[in-house]
Amino acid sequence: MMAYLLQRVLGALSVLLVLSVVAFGLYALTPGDPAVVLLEASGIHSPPREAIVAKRAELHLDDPLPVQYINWLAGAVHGDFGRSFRSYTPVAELYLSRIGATALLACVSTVLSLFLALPLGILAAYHRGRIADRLAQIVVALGGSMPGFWIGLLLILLFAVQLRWLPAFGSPTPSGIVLPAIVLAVANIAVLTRLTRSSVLDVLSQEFVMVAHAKGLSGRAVTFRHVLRNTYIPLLTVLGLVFANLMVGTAVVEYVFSWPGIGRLAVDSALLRDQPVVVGFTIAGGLIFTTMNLLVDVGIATLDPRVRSL
Amino acid sequence: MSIAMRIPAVSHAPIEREVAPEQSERKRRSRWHRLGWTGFEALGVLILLAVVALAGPELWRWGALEQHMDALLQNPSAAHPLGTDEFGRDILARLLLGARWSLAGAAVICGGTSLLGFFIAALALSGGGKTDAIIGRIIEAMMALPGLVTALAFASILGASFVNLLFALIITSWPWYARTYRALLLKERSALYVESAVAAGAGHWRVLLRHVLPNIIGPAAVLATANFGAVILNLAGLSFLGLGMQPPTPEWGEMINEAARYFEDYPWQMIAPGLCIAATVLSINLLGDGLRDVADPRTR
Repeated sequence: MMAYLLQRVLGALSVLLVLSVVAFGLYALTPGDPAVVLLEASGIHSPPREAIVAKRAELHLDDPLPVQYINWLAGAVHGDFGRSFRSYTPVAELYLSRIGATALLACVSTVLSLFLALPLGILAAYHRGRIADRLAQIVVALGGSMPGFWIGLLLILLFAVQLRWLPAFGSPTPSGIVLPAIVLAVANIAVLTRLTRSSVLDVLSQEFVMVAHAKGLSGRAVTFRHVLRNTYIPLLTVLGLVFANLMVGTAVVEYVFSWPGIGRLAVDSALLRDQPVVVGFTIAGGLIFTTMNLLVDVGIATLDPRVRSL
Repeated sequence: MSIAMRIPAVSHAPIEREVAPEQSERKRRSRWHRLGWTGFEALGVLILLAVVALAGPELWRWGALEQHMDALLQNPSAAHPLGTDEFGRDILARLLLGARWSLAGAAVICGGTSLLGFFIAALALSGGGKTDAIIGRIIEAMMALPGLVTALAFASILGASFVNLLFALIITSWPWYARTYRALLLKERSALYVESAVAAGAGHWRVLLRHVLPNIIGPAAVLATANFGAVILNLAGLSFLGLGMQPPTPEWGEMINEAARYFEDYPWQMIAPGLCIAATVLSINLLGDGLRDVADPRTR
């Protein structure tokens, strides 16, 4: 177990190393002189030459790129990801203040999609080729083909503008979270239903299911004690990814609903060309992804001893 | 890029054995039957779409950029079947021209990513064990990063334009292709025809391009098709945010962006391009599923 854990942690570290190179590369690509923009953001309009030179020295902008990278990495390890070009607020602070709203939305949406996708997928597998299966396939096909932001606009049109049941602007309140959570769940329901169906089918074709039936267990006992237990592992893997994807992939939907999360912060900053905050989103996303992957790996190894020996 | 691509294909070999022997005998004539009815229908829809995108803007009576100041924000009528926008431009004309940009953009991304993925995979395998290991680690690490987020950052830093968005999406989605191509190339490397080509004195890149490439073009096409739908959705999403095609040129995602300002009173402007995106992606996904069945019946 320890060896497996160590191997996973080393893998995560190598991912973070690549992330740091990508993020620094994005900083280096940023057009314009960061020193001037930052001075203006901190309230000094048309800064004098000496101030710019001093700021450039402070930011180590005149060093060669590899040296800049090392300095940047040292700062990043201590949570310093630069300051916003517009508000001069530290980037880390901006993300920490908004990550709660995104996490809430991601949790609600993950739970919602699980509650719909699991029964549908199991039903489809047990009724392979019949009506329930066809229905599930239509859900999968449609859910995976519609752009989320468009579904969001349609739902706002129906429930907020026409029926006036729910607010058009998302907010972390029970009525405000409904529409964005549904929109985000749609694509995941497609993915999870498809996966549940195929993993249940996979388990159903195995011999131990036949043995369980042969020794006289009731259909329900076979389903719950033998079949479903064996579908946890592929599901858990994907669930971790679904959640991580929701944490970072909500940007467009958050923008549609004006949800006060990290995705909207990134999109707003991208449109206003506030580059440090946009790059901060790549870093935040990479950190969330790596952490979730690591958690999923450890979770699976705890559940399934066979994985550890690999 | 998408979650679907990260899920390992689960095979159901034992279940597929239910097919009766005489039936499989009859069906062995062509493996294209496995494309299925939905696959053929989807292919038909896509061919129609390609024809419409190519010929439509030339044949339709209004141009996509013509402004009709006497017909602003009109609902569907005989003259303008899908209505007009706030500048009096015909929505149908914009959809037709938008189809060109959306489809061409997605095709460029798929083609570009395929090429980049192929060359990086080829580079990894030509360089020997150490190069292969390093490139392999980089591919894995890049795959663990959220691609769409990185693309958003790239597009924003390069500046909002269609070409920059295409570049950003290519540069962030090659790792999936590189991994698949690496596996494909590894399998082909030990094939007899490669050995004979090498024995005949063909150079490394010549073997790769003239002999190996034609042999893996089938699986490569399946991969690109399966990914095409997700690419259209990603392109539309980032265009919708304003990071892609800039007005007045129409592109489906950009059209929804423009229509979102008026969508409470004139919803049709926003609904029409979304329907186009959904129908296109649905057809491509169905075709992709069918093609995968043709290439490898076990994954059905």
